[in-house]
Amino acid sequence: MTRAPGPRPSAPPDEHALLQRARAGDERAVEDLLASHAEQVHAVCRRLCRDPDDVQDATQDALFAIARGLADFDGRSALSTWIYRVTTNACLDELRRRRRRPVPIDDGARPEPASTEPSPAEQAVGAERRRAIRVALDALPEEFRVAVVLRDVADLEYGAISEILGVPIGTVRSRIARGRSRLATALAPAEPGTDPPPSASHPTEMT
Amino acid sequence: MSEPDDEAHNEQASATLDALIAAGATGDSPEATAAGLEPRVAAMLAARDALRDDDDALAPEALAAMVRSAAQAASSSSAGLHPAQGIEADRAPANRSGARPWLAAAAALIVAVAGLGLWVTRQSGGDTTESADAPAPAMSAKGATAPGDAAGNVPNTVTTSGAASSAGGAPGTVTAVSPAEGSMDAAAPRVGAVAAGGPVQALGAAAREGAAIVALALR
Repeated sequence: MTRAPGPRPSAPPDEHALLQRARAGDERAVEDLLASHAEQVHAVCRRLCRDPDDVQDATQDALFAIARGLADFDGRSALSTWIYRVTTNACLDELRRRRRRPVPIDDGARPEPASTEPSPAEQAVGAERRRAIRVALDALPEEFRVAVVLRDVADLEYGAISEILGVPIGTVRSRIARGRSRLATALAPAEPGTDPPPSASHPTEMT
Repeated sequence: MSEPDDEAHNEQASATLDALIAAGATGDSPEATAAGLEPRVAAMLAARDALRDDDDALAPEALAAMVRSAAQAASSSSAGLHPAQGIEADRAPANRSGARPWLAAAAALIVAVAGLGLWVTRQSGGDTTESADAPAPAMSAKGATAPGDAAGNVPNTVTTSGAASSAGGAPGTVTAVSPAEGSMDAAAPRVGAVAAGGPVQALGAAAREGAAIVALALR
């Protein structure tokens, strides 16, 4: 299992200069700027969207929106905060679009591994782990999921998350605590005789 | 454990986790194991590590292709396309222009004034030939009315004595008076008005100017 723990690399020192060039219309600068954040943008999309196709769409949408919005970025917030705000909105839009799409009959429920005859892919520890993470994330209400992902995947501070979500910092703290707790419970190794955590075939709740 | 206690416990565990993160801890790092973490904190830390697994990350080439195409699209659309346009994802307040709602409100106000002016002009029967800088007409006085004709038209003259001539244009007439501008009572001419019709003309002019301003603003 590969892992990218610890703080993400901070913005390069020449980011400001890059931003100026990008805002002046330098395509190469826009590309460099996007490239320096693209991995994180995709990581957030991967954890906020369910379907792999949605992840790709949301990532693409976010990168487009960031590239086009750079000219008007006024620096009132940190560039990374603004980028994650655009990314979060792209993901939420993608999720809304997904809810509006008709669901094919055969796609109504996420396939669960057969308990008696697991497929070869599901026998792999990595695949099982990914599935467990996906299920646990899907089980989280959207408001908790977004807050936890912004904190634990994007490494944003509480203040920046509060700014992105437009809610008080205390609310952010509470959502993160509850989201983390639920995730910890869902991902904890099952003890003998206990029921597995509920899967999330139901839509996430919106508030 | 009661729900409030559980809530407080979660927040405490989450705060502890934040402190560990700030110290660079991961689930299997010495900081975490040596600290003898409370089970809930340890579970949260493990969950965080799981979230950060990037086994299913996009191939670097695919991500680079996305970046390239986004940069190219932004570059090619920079002429003519406002950055805030496009997908609804870009909802950052910083990208919003604050001028447009005011422009729309001003245009609506001008159109309303112009409409009122045109309505008043129509109501007045068209006698707007008097000087626009004449004083505004006074309110009508008792015993000094001039009855209108069957069509509702009001004689355009009043006498200085206040006695209106039914034939209109009695001796002593000072000047013509247009019907009551903006009044629902069209049969109530103003006694003492020296040169009504000016405000009507002014409103008509305002309407024309308003229309011109709207046309400019919309262009």
